[in-house]
Amino acid sequence: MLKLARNLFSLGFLVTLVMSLLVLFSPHDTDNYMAAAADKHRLLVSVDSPRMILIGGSNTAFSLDSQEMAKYFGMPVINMGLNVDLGLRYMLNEVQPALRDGDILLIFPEYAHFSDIPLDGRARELGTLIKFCPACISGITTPVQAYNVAAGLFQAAESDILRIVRQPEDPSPVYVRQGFNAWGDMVAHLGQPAPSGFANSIPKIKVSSPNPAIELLNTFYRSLDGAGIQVFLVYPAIPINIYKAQQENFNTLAKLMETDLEIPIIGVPQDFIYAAKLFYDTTYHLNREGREAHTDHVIDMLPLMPSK
Amino acid sequence: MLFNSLEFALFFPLVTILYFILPHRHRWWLLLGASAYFYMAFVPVYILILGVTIVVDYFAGIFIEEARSLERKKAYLTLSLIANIGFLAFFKYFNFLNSNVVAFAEFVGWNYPIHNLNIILPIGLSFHTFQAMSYTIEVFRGRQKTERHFGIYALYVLFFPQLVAGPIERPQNVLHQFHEEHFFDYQRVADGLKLMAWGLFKKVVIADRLAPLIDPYYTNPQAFSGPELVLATAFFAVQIFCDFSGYSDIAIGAAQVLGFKLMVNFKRPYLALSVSEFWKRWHISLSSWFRDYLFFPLERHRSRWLGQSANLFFVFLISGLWHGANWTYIIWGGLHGLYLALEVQIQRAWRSLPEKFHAVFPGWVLFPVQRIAVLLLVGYAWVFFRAESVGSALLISSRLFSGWTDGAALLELARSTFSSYELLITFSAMAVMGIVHRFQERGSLRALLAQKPAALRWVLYVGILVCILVFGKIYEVPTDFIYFQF
Repeated sequence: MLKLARNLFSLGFLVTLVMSLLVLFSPHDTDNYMAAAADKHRLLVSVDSPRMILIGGSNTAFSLDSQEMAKYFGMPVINMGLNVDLGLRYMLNEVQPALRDGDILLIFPEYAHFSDIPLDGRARELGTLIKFCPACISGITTPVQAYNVAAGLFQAAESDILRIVRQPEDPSPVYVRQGFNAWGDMVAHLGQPAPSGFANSIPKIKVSSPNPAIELLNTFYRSLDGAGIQVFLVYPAIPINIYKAQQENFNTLAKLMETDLEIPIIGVPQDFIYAAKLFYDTTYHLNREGREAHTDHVIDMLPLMPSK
Repeated sequence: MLFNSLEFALFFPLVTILYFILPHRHRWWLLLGASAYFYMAFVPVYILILGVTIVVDYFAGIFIEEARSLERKKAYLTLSLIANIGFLAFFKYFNFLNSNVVAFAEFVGWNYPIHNLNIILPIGLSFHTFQAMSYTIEVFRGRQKTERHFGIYALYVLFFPQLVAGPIERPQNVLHQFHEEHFFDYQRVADGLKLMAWGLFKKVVIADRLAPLIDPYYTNPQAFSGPELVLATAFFAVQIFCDFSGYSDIAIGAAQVLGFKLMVNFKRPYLALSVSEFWKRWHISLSSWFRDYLFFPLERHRSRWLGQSANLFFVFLISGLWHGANWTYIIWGGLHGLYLALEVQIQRAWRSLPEKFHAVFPGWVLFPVQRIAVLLLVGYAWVFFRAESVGSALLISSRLFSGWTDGAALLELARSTFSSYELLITFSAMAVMGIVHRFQERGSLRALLAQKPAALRWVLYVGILVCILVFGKIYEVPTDFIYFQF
């Protein structure tokens, strides 16, 4: 039995070594969309307070104009939005230690955060994120997140190994690090024609009560008590047909949020529905016109006055 | 609990360590408890069905052995078979039969009041039912002594490595092993672990990567051309082999680690030179079950007009029905029955045909041709196995020969297939599997590897594990094994 234990240990060590070498030394795609996490994280820790911080999935990245908001409110606006599959816990954990007196935090969760997407996120996205932004490890606080990061690093190695063999034929001009502006907004899609195969749907929203995502948001909110930070939750932009297809589910969620969520909520889901022609490539990604309309709408609805 | 889940990665080492720590006399209850837990991880309440059949068959075995007259033995056996087949019929076939009766009643205008029931098929029901039936049949035939230890008998049915998808064991092979003390043997345990790793490789690196590529073709076949559907079917042939033989490898390997020897279930079936040889290499535990308990008895009572071919056809129809309560499976079984019946007739008509062919053509010409013919026949039958309905399978069949004259489209399909990012990995893994099969056909791969330097062996082991970790679909929700649904 000792021989087996010794050999299994040796095997485990060798596998870990090979995996570590693959993760560390395989050629990284430096213009990867997720690599923008490093730029956003740098903004988060370096920009002086007071400032406005936007967090959420790619809906936040694609559909808001932080410069327009900065002009209106007279304070820097950092757009931390990146990918829904990072999970709500990571998004909150990442900003929490960086929040300072006077900051305003706007949370733009996607509907799947209350339904399908695990609070601890998904492996591939978390692993890829940490690969490009080791400093973002501060957002990893649970064993499940840690497992996801490890598994995701291995999964990310898959595409890196493939890249050694062959470069992707048709890299996306939009889903790249360079697609973001200096304040974290995705801008590469602005003015681009909508690609074919528009994913104009979202999975059916199944809202459970008590909802773990709402409980997590409440815990987060309570932890900021007395820190001089204003927090608001804003519903994401969706096409009108999506809203109509699941109107009852959206209303159920909104009612639950009204009763259970302690964070002030801006409006209701139907306040943020737009014509399908205002979206770029998926349900949550607005195009230039849509982004302008949505940004103006969010500014109008926020119970905040310009600071100057 | 799925073999490709994190839960099993924790469960199995824990059970193994406890198993070897415990004294032999206490091991049966550890395995029984672990097996029950393993099964209840799917749908806990269905353990009750297993419990009822275990009690029925345990006492049936005793009554059969103690009965003085053949009539009484037969009566007890019949009762046991009715109980087993009754559960199978109710849970697996009731809705299927009822739907057909409803359709027929609508067709002839009858008022038929019975609706389908809202029941879920207990996982692996067909497998453990057949294994339980083999026990009472063997006791009846006098080839197996009754198992008086209730716990050991329950373990025979519940043993977790082969509980949900086989291999479908025979009591003569397994029951005595539960009484024997298994000592820790490094080589046996290491070989079992290697087999498990190889099975996992086939499942998560090949089968699970192919599955999402195939689904669109079979969900919406009218949108695709003949070459695309042929390609999807070829991929499915690989997927189902890797999925099921992968499961069997993990099952046999897990049992081997604990000291049990289960029967071989697959022997590189796509290298078969005839359809009958295919069935000696594919899901061997099921085909031999049907051979021993259905085909041979039918042959003994073969009527003049109902020859061997008819019996083969009938057995494979039942085999198709065993797989699933759907006409697609019945047609799949029927096709194989037809192939075998024709093979028998051809062999009878031209007994000297193989020798004549071999005299004219060397093996390196003849064998590939035979293998391709078998692959085409088996591959076509997979269309029915995979299709969502008979209508869909017929639509695919009707389209298989269209679109072959459009050279540009064929070139584009070949280009997109061979340049696909996703398929690059899968093809590489399939090539590795092909090489392994090639060596296995020539003899024992383990013996061959044992002669190689240790460094080379370790490179292979590390390589397989790294492939599983990097390329395997193991990090999201684990996918079911296809045969679990049966």
